[in-house]
Amino acid sequence: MLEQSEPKGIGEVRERAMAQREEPLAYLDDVVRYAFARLGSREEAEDVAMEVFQAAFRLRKELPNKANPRLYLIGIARRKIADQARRYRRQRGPVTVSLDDPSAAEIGFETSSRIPELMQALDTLPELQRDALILKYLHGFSVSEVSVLIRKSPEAVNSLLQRGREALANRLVEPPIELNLMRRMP
Amino acid sequence: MKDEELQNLFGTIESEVAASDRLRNAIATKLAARKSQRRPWKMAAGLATACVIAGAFFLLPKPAEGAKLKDMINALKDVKSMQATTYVYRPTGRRRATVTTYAGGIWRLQTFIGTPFERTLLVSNQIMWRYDPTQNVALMELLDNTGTVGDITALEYVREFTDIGAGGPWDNFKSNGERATHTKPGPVWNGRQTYKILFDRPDQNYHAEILVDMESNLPICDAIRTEDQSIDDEYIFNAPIPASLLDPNFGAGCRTIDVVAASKELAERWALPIGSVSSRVGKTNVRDIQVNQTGTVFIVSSAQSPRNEQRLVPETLSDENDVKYLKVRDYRPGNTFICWVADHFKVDGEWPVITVFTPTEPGKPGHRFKVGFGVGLGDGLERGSKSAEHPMGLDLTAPPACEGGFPEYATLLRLNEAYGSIVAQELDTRARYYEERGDNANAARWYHQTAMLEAGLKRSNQHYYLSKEADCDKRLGRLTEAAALQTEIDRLKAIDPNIHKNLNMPIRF
Repeated sequence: MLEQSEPKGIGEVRERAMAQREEPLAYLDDVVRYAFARLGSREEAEDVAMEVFQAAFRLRKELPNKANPRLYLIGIARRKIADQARRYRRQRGPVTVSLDDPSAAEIGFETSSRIPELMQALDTLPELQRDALILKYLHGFSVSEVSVLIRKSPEAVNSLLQRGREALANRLVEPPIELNLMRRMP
Repeated sequence: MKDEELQNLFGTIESEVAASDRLRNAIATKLAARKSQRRPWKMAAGLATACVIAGAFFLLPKPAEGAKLKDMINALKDVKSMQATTYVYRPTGRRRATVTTYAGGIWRLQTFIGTPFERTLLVSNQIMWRYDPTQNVALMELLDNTGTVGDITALEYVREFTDIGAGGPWDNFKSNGERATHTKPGPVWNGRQTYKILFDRPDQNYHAEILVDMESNLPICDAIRTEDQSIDDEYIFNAPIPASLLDPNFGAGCRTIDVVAASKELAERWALPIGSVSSRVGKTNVRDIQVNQTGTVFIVSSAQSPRNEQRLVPETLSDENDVKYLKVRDYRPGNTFICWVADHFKVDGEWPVITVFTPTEPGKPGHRFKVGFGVGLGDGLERGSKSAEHPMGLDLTAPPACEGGFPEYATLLRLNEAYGSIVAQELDTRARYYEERGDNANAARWYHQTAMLEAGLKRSNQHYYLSKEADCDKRLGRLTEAAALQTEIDRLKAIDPNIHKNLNMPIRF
């Protein structure tokens, strides 16, 4: 058997390669949080995240080429959520919100948490405004990155953010009636 | 609502929502499983013997018919060395395409393309050498495990293609329609008793036969026939492999480039930009400008923009001699048809592109240049930029002309694998320039030059450029020349493997 000694300078590349192997998992929380912010359910968010990473594995040759893997994975998540919404609409007709739906009152947060309130407020916003706000303020993407993800011009993104901020502020100050009703529930 | 308030509000999601351990473990498990299934030598695409073996073995038989195949698989599990030669059929005949060799944990793949793009790949302990015999240079780097060559043994290599376990290749192919497998007695082959295993996938017009040695149960050769390809393989197992064949010292005078060290050095050399431009799409830094002996100019620029997204790229060029320059293309390091391993080379965190400009006629190299910029993708695939809405000028001075036609960094950044393409595209750019201006004589001249160059690079491109030349001749009224070219075009088309894919070659055993 031939023996090969490791050439000089290769150690650094080896470390880089090892880091790359685990790299996708570093963005798992980001994907889960994005899906949660969009769907309002931990369980559904994790289902979407699983689908995203399965898709990313299939396209794994592309991932290292992406200068911003987080942006890339969130982009996949966005498409998965859109697919899910389409499936849901096909199966159940127009989307309706039920106060009996346990996902509407996310379980598992501290009573002091503002997440349920935020989710309810976000849920009343048009989809693009909601998405723009989540990408900008949850993930910290720049306007140009958001514009790439939602396929709108930076000017349109700025407009969406402006309107989204105003709408969200109004909703948080004056919660929609559903939220008020929910708060009264035992 | 202020940005800070919103960030705090959304920050509650960040602090309270995270992936569960269950999900993290599930994904990590899947990731690990996929890594273990990685196919070797995929980099060499259809050239590698692996594909041939895979093609045959994916078609697994029904249990009653599978005894012989099982014997062969078991025999393959114990091989200590392998040499597999792959032949492809072309309209001009059968020719050797690759030789794959394995022994002692080392893999070697040698391609026989008959052009400057021939390479020898050697993989040992996750280190890969890519030897270019034309330049007598080897690039040495660590495999990054992004789906190309894995750190496998021969046993794993063989099992990879015989694995019927969950998640193995079988899973990937089991939905591919009807399969049929048969065993037949084979001919006496070089004095050896044999049997044949036949695979058919009728809905895909696929037929494969493996001739197996009755005594050792190891394959002797196989034949794969598909709609597009006729491929033969010949195998030698457990024969001594000369150590020199698996040695990364490729020959006298071979220069080995440590990709890691050399990339680091180059990035440090280019760390300080020699010029910068900015627009709404961001900032582009110019890192280097060089010119060769015939006046071709190479400009390296970099930007934060990810690849395939808009950035400012050099778009126009002029020099102190008022030479007319044409933009050839933007080239991305490593973006060549023979190599699609991700190249992670960055300069100061920015992705570089190399923009090539050619003078309309080769001539005295310029020294002082004015570069105009436009918005483009810099992805190395498109001609020119999408828009020149932000034209601006940068005055740059090039050092004395580089020797050898290309800057010294070209080999490291794998532009050398596009050497032929760059030169051919340079000549083609000139031809198009003249043709667009109705100068058919000069257009014909440069199309002819391109065709002659392609004869030694990508022969199937030759008739395309000759056709363009013939069109120019016709417009000039040179009908005799055009007719002569047409005869040559017809001859080349008759042997173009891209046109005549399905040769239906008979099986030799």
